[in-house]
Amino acid sequence: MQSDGAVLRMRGISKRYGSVTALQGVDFSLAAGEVMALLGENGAGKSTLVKILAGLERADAGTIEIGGVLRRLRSPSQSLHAGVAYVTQELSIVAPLSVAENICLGSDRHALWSRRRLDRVVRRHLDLVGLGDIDSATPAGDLSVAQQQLVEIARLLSRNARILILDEPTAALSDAEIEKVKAVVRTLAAEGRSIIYVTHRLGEVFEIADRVTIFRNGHSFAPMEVKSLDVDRLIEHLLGRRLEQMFPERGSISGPVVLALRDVTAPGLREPVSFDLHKGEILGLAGQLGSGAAAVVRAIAGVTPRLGGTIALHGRPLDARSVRNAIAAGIAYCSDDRKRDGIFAVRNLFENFTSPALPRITVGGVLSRGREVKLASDLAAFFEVARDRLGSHAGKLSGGNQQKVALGKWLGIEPSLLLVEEPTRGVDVGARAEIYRHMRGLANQGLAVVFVSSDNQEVLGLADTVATFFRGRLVRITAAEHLKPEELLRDVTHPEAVAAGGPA
Amino acid sequence: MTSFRPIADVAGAGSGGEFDPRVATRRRRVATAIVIAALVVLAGIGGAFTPTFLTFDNLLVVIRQASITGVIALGMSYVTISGNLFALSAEELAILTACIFGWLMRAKFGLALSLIATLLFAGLGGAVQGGIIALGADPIITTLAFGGFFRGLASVVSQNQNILLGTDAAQWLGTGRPLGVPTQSWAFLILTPLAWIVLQKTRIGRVLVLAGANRAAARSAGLRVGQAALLGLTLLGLCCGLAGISAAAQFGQAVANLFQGLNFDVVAAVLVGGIALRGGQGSPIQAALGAAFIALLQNFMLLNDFSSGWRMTVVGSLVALATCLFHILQRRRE
Amino acid sequence: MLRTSIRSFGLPLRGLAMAAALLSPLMFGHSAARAESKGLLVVFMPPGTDNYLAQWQKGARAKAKDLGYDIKIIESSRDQAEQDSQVQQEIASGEKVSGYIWWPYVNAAGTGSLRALSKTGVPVVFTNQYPIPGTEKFWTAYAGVNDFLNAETAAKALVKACAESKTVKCNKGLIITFPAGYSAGSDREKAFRKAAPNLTVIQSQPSGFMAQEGYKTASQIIPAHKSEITWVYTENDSLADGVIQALKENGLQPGKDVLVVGGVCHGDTTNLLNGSLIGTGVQAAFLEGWSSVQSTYKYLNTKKVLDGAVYLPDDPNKPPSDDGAPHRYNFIPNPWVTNAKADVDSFKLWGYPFKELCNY
Repeated sequence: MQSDGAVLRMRGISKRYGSVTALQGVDFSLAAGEVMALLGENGAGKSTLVKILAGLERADAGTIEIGGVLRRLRSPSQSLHAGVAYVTQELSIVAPLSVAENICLGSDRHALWSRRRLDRVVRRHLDLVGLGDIDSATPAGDLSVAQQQLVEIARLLSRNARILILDEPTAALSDAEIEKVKAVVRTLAAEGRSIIYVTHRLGEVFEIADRVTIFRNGHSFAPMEVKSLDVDRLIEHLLGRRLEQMFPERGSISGPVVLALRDVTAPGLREPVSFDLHKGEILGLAGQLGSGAAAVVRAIAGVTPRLGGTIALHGRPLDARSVRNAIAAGIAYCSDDRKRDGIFAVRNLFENFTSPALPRITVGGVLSRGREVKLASDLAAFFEVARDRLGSHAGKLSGGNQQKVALGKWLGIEPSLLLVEEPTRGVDVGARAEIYRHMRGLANQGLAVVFVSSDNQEVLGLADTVATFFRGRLVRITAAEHLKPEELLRDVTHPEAVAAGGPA
Repeated sequence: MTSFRPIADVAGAGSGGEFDPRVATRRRRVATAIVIAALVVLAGIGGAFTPTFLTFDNLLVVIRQASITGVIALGMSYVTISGNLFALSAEELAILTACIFGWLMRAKFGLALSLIATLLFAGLGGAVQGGIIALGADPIITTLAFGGFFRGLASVVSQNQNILLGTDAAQWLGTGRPLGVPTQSWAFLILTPLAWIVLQKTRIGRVLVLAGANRAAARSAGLRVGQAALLGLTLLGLCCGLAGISAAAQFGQAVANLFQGLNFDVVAAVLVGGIALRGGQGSPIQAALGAAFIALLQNFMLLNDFSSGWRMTVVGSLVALATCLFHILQRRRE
Repeated sequence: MLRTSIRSFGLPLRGLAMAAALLSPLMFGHSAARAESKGLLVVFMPPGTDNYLAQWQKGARAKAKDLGYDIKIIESSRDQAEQDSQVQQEIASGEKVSGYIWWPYVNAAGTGSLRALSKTGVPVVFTNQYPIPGTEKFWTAYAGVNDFLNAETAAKALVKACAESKTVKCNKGLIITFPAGYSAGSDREKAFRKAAPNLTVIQSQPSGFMAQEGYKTASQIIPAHKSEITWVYTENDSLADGVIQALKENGLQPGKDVLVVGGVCHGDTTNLLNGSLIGTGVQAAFLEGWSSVQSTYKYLNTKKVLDGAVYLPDDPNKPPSDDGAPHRYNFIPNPWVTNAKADVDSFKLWGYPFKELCNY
């Protein structure tokens, strides 16, 4: 890259957190109008770099030039002023305010403007992010997550951001929504803005990025042209080794039926659902948000009430009226929001790992330190969480490690059924493969697993059996081996129906 | 249930062996270390300026002063750590238990029966509040209301008179000095490690901490989160009962006018000790240190003849300062 | 008989208390509806959870009943701002009141409320807290204790006891007072210092009203001055109870090594009878409440105030007469009682024995 084409140039950036080196003399540059993907496992340093650029963290050493001018970015407002906008996974949308008000949020001069005048101001930005057909007076809370994300981008564009940092923008979105965001990214790049696209999804890199910068262990590598890469080589660069296989081998399922659903109805389901699940089987429930896939597992887990039908576990009717009942019956459930109810962010991993299995580490009401350490260490070893991290707060871990904790803690109760929503949301590639491997390993030992996923690749790769859901209805149940990706996509999106009836 | 044992089979590498416990506790110790450092600095300054400050006698006096506040602050730390902020009825419950104890003693129920009945009542007074909070009521509003109820009841029980116990049977409880240390201080010195052990080493203590750290996660892990509020408030009630009995026993009298400003002192101890308001973090020891620090500071100011206005100003600013400091520390750690 | 007392429970619930104060006449039906009532007296005072104040209320109620008046007592917490708003609420209620009795918590800060009460044209009788100079036109009469007098009496008794003591030579000592801002506390301290100029004060420390508070303060100060303390003055006998315990814990024997005087009997007489106190003044809370109502009645009856101060006679058997006009200052007697048992047993004032006036 020739030096005069760069809108952003970061040189020799270093950052330490206590004894941990997050970035070590990292160089990074960005050209006008390009989409630069940032790849790296969690903890590799890419988040730290973008946070420094966004003014959320201060570098210990190094310089930042924006548009050829040396800048000091000590606060988000300084960064924004320098033309850098940061869109995180945690949206800063104020739900009760209108779309237009959200876009103008933070600039007081709009406070007293009429609705029409506001609309005129924000319309241009809404068009740019593909929300041209939305009434700017709609409360932002009524929009989908993807639309809210786009509103947030529009807000930052209204501040004349020239460099946009999108931090895993598609992590929480379903496939259809992802397409929309990607289209906006391309539009913005074509407009001459530069985009830093942090992602875990390798596919996205090939779809929208011009170049990719890979981070590993606090170092960055020279950017590569995406055109010159293929998936295998990208993964090789990313992991520093060749990833044998993302998904583990399937086993043979011959065990007895563990879970049997008969005509089950629950909130979020429009039609009764029936299926059998065998010992050692992994069932993938594929569907977008609101498809009903999650509603099924929530009813089994006792999170939401079952409205009709029967659920049998090991042939005995299950009356899980509460999460506690379900747990007592040997059902483990991980929601799709591990930060909300999957981990104890301010407690260490010993306490996290042992939390559902307190009786197991208790003798006469008193905790046994030995048993606790043993159980936590075993679980950590099983899930390949470094043992010296056991003392850290769970909130300090990478997304992948947090997910391992959220999953792993359940093994302490020796469950016979594991229910997981979105097992790899926000998890980096390396850790994904690990989680898949662990889930398969658990199934191989006789655990019955049900997972819900909006990631079709994941469903096809991990599940033995796939149940597809669309708008509260079970579309079909089929062996994963015999399901083609196009069929799956068609099942969960019903493109014709969507085109006719609008988004679900 | 299956006989499924994933861990033993698969985790060949797993052994309950070496980990570094220092890493586990370092964070928690930051706040504790700050309070201890502040104690040492204050003791040093005090010693330099006031000759009688750093004497054994005075140390006993300071511990004695810290004791009542400290004992209740231990209970309050449970409430705070369980994620229920503060109970603003501690002062009132202590007053009520003092009056009830006085009334029972005056009515000649005998020391043992009076003690048991009073403590039972104190525990119940806490448990009822805890139960209501466990059902989802706001802890501040609930305890505020109960505070009014308790104070009113104390006024009714005592008929606004000085209840004279009319016997010296209980006196030792308020004035005794086994091995030269006042009973209140014994209670404080014994209950502090006990409170720590219960929170750290028992299952119910763990449930309390986890419920405070993340109520939703605790619930979805199958823990009875309601137990947290119940336990915290019940123990706080018992601590208030001890304080009430001690005060009534000390002078052989009880009146509905005791413990002025105790709620503030206790909350101040918890905050100065650096216990995070949002729950799930901190230890009763921090509350104890907070109480000790405030008592030391009060003593220093009293010996140096600070006017009561200045004393209030200084303690108030200390609480504000501590709250800000620990808040900033918290944010940096995240 | 309408007996309403409003108690409130700390700052956030103050609003409720005020609302209750406002509503109470509506809820219970007004006294005007009662033919036999001669009128309504409204008392503003700190909380009756203090036993002295509760006793005061008893006296006031007894006398009001005796004279055929209704009485409404509005208690504040220990907070002048709260009392001020209670005054506003009461005035705004438009209730027909024959007389106000005013006992501020922080005397100086309460002057605004006093002025507001006086503007209603209803007579205001000041009680317990000695009126601040300059406020004379806002009140009709003062009826109650003479803080200067009881402190002076205590000081003289202490000086006398010092002279008579064979075990201690009085020199340096401590003063433990009521909380800062409570004017009776500073009045007593001033009068005490004036009446005992030869005693050296090491430290004067605001504390509270109760034994526990007195102990809290004294137990911290005494160790530092253990070797030099010869006397302690505490403004009432409850505070003295706390001081006496702290002295004992520091190896000092009250009555022998250190002479302690509270000067106002306050609930419990154990320490008087065992000689830990050198004696006490019978400032009877019951009689103070009693005489405040009597003075109000005397004014309502005659519409006149006599100039100057009067000490109501300390007749052992007969209370003062209800006839005639009150003086500007009507002080209740404050007779001294030594710690001799015979002295205590034989004591009577206005027909009430010592135990009835001092044990509450």
